[in-house]
Amino acid sequence: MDELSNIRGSCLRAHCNVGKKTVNGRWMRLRRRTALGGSGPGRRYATQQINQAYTVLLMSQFQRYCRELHTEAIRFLTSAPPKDPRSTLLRVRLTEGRKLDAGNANPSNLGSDFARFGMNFWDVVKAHQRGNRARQEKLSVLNQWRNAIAHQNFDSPILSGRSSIRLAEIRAWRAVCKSLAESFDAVVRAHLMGIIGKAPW
Amino acid sequence: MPRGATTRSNGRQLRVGQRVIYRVGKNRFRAVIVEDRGNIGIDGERIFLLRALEDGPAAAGETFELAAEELKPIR
Repeated sequence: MDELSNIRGSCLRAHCNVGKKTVNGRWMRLRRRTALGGSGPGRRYATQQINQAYTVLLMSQFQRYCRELHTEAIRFLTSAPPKDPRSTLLRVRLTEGRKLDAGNANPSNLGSDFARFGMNFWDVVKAHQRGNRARQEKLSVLNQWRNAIAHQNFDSPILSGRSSIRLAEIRAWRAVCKSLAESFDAVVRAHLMGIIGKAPW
Repeated sequence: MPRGATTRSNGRQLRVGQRVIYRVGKNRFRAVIVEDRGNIGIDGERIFLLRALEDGPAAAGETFELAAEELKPIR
């Protein structure tokens, strides 16, 4: 058992030595990015890491909200004859390959998934509140940041060469998500009312 | 789910990774549970994300959602 551990250990060390320069370089870069402390002015904790985590968390919660709104709308649309095979068929077809199940809640995926209910989603959302056109663009930028953070690749031209993010920006995005969520709820509710003749929620 | 609330058929027996069948009319189709979405349906229905194992209402390999009461575990 000890021999096996030694072999494994020596293999690992050999592997590290082969790419030592690369590994060291990467490690130093990572340390510089995540370094805590220092004697200069400013905060002594990992603000950037917290901001990045906050951005990804915000986006994931917004995605979950949108997906659950979509699910709830389907359940309501197909609830009338519960044992009717047509209801099951419709439920399967309306959720099959849904983009919100695999991709981000970006404007394109949202438009595509909610179009399954027969609505021009973003046209209706933009008409619902004056600021929603700008919010759609901000959601797109938020998605770019989310992807840049999740993949640690900040090359997108939309980020204008930046790799750090400020708390004020995230708070603004949170307000955007909140307003969009309220609009989504209202327009989907109105659309379902138009189809089935009563308020779904 | 609180005690005494609506008991949805086999929701408690189902879990991620389990193979299930769902019916459309007289036909049965196989799928596997990939995610438990929780009680997010109407009146607290438990919803599962599934992946179709064969062509049917959903193409094989595609994901879709159904409620627990529409699913039967494959023993």
